[in-house]
Amino acid sequence: MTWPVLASAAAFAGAGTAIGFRKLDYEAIPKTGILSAAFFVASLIHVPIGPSNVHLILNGLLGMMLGWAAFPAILVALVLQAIFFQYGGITTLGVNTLIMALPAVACYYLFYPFLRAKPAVYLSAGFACGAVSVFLSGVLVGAVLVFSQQHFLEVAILVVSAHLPVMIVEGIITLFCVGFLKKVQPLMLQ
Amino acid sequence: MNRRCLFSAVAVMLIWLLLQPLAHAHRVTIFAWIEGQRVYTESKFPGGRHVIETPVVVYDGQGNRLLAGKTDDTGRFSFEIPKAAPLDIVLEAGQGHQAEWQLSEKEVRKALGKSVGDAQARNAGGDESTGDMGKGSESARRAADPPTPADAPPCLDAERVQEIVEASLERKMTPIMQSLAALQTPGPTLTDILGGIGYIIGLSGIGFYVAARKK
Repeated sequence: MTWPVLASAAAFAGAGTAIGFRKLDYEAIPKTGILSAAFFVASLIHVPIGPSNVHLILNGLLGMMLGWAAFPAILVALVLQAIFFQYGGITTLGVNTLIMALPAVACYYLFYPFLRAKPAVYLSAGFACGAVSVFLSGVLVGAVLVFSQQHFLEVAILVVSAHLPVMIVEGIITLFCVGFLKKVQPLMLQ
Repeated sequence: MNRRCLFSAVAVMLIWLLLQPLAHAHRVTIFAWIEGQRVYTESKFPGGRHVIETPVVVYDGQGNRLLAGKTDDTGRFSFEIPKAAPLDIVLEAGQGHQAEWQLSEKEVRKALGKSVGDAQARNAGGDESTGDMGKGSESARRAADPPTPADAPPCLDAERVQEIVEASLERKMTPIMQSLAALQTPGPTLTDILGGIGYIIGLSGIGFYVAARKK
């Protein structure tokens, strides 16, 4: 990846994190911490699907529950992964944060309004939230790779198709989380 | 005063982070070594799972694509050295996972240069791969012995000896290289994961502290 891409992505990620911190009030801190931990662990568990290894990203769930606070939550988890396991790496931290947190925030705005609707609607919104955020992450990966001089369409198709099984699994997990929280602790989704 | 302490702590941490070695997106690893005229590669996911049926692309030093292939179901892929140039071997495991291994031009040229003698030594000593070091080099030495005295030099010259030693060493080193490749991919352990969670809890605590001061 080239330096301009890395630097501008880092700047955007920094801005998002600043907004996230500003929106992070006293009550939201434990929620953010827990979801950051969930994200940290989920991306360490690699599940073999087909020829490749995939792991959960959970950014849809983070977006749905945290909104802008998904930025600091994801950044913290990625920093720890980079330090502990050399996953991702420090220089690509901005890019990776942006790739995962931006779709999270987008999905927050796209699907959050549906949470007040009927069960059938909010459950499908949960599924869509999980799936779409992974899809958007895939598109962003493709877009970032384009700036690093690779063929866009080829790479984008490859990346998105690699994300397909994850999209479905994420959708289901987010659906169950939303369904569960709606029943047990609806305040968590506000 | 307190704030200044916090700032300097953050600055120190940032500097430390910047000094970390560059790492690539995610953690698949590819490991390559030369044996004779072929390059062998082995690819793994964290925790040692093989990367199967995954594209491996080989570039020369200028970024020209030389050849491509797929790993087999033990994560291996091998190819003839395509040309005497530095080789960039890139594993493209999808989902943003990529790994790279470079072979220097020197290594490649060396392999191409001595490949004839190497192949001879290999043929002679090939069956004794279980033998120990001494035995292996002995068989290599036997291989170097001329089949007929007529066309052979009276004794081994330095170059020949070096070739034989290198061929034998290469054969002996291969398993070590493979276990090195295995060592290269430590999966995250439970301790690491719990440590990470602990850090996050701690950071939440700092968050509480900061939020409480603001109030």
